[in-house]
Amino acid sequence: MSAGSAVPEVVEAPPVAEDGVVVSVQHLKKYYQLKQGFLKSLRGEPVSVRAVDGIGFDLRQGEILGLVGESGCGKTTTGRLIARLETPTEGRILFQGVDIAVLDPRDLFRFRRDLQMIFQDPYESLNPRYSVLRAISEPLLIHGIGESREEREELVIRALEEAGLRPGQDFLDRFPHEMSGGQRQRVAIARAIVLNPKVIIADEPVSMLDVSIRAGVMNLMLDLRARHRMPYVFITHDIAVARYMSDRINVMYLGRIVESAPTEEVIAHPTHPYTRALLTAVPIPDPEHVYTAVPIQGELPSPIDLPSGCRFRTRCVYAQEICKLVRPPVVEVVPGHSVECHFAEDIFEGRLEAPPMAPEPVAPPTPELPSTDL
Amino acid sequence: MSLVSVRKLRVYFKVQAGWVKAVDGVDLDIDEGETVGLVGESGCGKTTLAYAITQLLPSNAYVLGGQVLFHGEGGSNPYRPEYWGLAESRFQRDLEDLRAKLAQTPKEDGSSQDRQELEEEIGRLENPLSETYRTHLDAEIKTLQKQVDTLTERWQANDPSVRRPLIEARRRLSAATQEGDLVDITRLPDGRLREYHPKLNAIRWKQIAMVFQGAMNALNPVYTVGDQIIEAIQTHEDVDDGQARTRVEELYRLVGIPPDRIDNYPHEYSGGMKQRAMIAMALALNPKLVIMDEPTTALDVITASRIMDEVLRIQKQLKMTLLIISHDVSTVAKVADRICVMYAGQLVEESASKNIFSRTLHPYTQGLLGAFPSVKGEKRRLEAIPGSPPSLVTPPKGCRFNPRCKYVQDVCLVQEPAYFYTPEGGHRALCHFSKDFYEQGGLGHT
Ligand SMILES: Nc1ncnc2c1ncn2[C@@H]1O[C@H](COP(=O)(O)OP(=O)(O)OP(=O)(O)O)[C@@H](O)[C@H]1O
Ligand SMILES: Nc1ncnc2c1ncn2[C@@H]1O[C@H](COP(=O)(O)OP(=O)(O)OP(=O)(O)O)[C@@H](O)[C@H]1O
Ligand code: SF4
Ligand SMILES: [Mg+2]
Ligand SMILES: [Mg+2]
Repeated sequence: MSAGSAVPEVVEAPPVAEDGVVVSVQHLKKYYQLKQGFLKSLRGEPVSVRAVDGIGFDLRQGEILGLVGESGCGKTTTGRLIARLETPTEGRILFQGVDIAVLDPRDLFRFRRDLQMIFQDPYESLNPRYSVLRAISEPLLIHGIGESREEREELVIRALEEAGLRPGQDFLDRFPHEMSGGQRQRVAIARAIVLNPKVIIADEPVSMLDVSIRAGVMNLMLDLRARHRMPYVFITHDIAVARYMSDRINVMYLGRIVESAPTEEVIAHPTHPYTRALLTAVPIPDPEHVYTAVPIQGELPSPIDLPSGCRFRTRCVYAQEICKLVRPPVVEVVPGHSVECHFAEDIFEGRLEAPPMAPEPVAPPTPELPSTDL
Repeated sequence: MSLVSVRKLRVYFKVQAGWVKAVDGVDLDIDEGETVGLVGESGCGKTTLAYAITQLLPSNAYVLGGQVLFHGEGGSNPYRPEYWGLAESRFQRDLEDLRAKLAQTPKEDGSSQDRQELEEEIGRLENPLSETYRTHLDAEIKTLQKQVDTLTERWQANDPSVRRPLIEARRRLSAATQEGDLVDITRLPDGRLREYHPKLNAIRWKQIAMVFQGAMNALNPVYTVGDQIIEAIQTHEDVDDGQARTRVEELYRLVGIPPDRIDNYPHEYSGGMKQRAMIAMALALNPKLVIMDEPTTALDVITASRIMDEVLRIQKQLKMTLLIISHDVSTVAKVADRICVMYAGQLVEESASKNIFSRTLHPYTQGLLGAFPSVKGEKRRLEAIPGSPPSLVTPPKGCRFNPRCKYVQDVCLVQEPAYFYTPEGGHRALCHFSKDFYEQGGLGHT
């Protein structure tokens, strides 16, 4: 297991990716129809969840793209759509320039090899009855890679060692329950990289891991990217993790990408009111840090019954009448930094420093706790 | 003085493979009105420690030593340390005798029975229960009892001058007999805890309440949330429906849920509201100590941060004592006055929150702090702690952190470290080199 160097080093600058777009997501939508009766649909109209509601982005060679947002905002659905595990309601996904919806069977087979997914739960993503050797050589067999058993074993060992399980030989005969959570997630990574994929979709790959193990897995994924220049879509609800992992961050809110920019740009100049709230809410591992009230109000609306106009307006401290009436445009505040908000430029340039609507008081008037002798 | 003192506590789970040493010699004091954070990785024993304080351990848990003293009733007792000190000096003397005897007892031949008995007796003295203290304070207890009796007689004969001496004698007797130890009240001879005891019932929920880990998912889906809180109140107090409901309304306002949501079912609540409702339930009987086990772990950051703000405000307003358990140091750093870091069943470091960060004295704490990504400051390469937490059935010999520690030396493999206490007080760490780290100004981290 790679221990990381003793002396902390500043992370090297991400490779500049001028070369080709690997995945292009265009006007993508995914609506799920809910069964009647499950929800009271008074007018008898079909009820649908707009899990992904018109998003687009490009993923370039060598780039890690972070997809962040609250639970239910559509991150996993986006990942599954790109992996063709779901069919879009609208829009398309180009993989190396070709629409994945129209791949012929042979190309689809090839696509399944070129795109690999890593999931949140290393316990569930590995078959408990398969040894590590079997789990990782299975995709090789399916794709007809490796002439002989020995050759495949060689590839498995190489993948294990790349995933930081050294010596790889020692892990071949182990079963999932004989490994720690971090080791299991490394096996899942080894299985993803053994096919030499062109792109990896990682859905919350470190969320289930203990903090002390998490850093190792994140470093491993960064090192693999540096070595092979394969791009990742990195899905996480933790914006601190997204910052550490990605070159670019897309912030999602209720099926939309509300802000997209290079990572340090988002951290330094968060512009969408939701991104600002998200960043204010992150606890800082420093007891001296002075917290300010999180600039947000209310609760996440139901994805079935979305607010009119801007879907963030019910919680937004900047919201005005226009936000109720008109869908906000996507504004590019500086090249490469786009924000979906009516006041994007005003906020970005600091002209709207004080929100027109103060954040909801932290709590309603506070009565004394009832005495126990009523 | 502290509201709760956990002393030398040892709680093991019996499993097929042997004993899971989930809490293995923990000392922890929580002062009145204070917020203490307990952090550590999954499986290190945080919940078990909390359950030991509330006496809600599962049936395969054995308390093999230690005390949980709760000073909720009648204030704190200033004489405790004196009697602890006295008894412990006697333990020390006996221990030396027993160890010498053990060394002389041959390993082979038929006398292995003796060895086992000696070892058991040593174990008892190393992990004393209240009982052990009492047997070593026998003479003092008898004398005090006599004093109390005589003074009481004089008091009843209307002698006002004995008032102060009588109070003092009673308190001393209470300290010497270890009154207030919850383990002493509920522990069965084999080490398991009784599920029910009237004395404990008077303390649990009314004095010590707990918000359980994952409790918001345990709300009963077929009853309204309000009814479930009302039921909890009525189980412990004789109040009618109207009074209980009024109290739930006040509690809802306190935790920030609109009271008109009382009659909704759990599925009609968001995750954050459910968690708030669980906090309201814990506060329902106005307890002195509230333990919150991972109160925000399942929630997104925005909801989590608002709930923690709420909790802090309520804590200040009600001057409540709080123990907050989390695997996330950042969450705890935000709210706690003091932080305890737990590793493999032991508290490896404890100090005021800011010193844990600025003057880290344990390598594990350093690793934990260095492993967190942050959205503040420059982006730096995170440092992982190699390996993974040890098995608690067969923890490593010597220092339990030794297989993962980058400062490890030979001594760490064979000898258990003892606590290093900083000279200015309030900060301790369980590592052979904590003193050196202290003299260097603490361990740095990114
Ligand atoms: N198969 C499905 N049928 C109906 N609704 C679905 C389905 N899958 C997802 N949804 C809904 O779509 C929305 C987006 O879900 P998704 O799993 O993509 O969110 P997420 O951002 O990954 O959330 P989390 O952080 O909780 O994993 C949610 O409201 C979810 O309930
Ligand atoms: N009833 C039980 N029987 C046997 N072992 C148990 C039992 N309950 C807990 N354990 C074990 O005791 C150890 C401590 O568990 P505990 O739940 O206290 O950890 P924790 O620090 O709260 O972890 P988490 O952060 O995952 O909640 C673990 O190794 C756990 O597997
Ligand atoms: S005692 Fe040794 S092994 Fe344990 S933390 Fe200290 S240096 Fe590391
Ligand atoms: Mg998801
Ligand atoms: Mg726990």
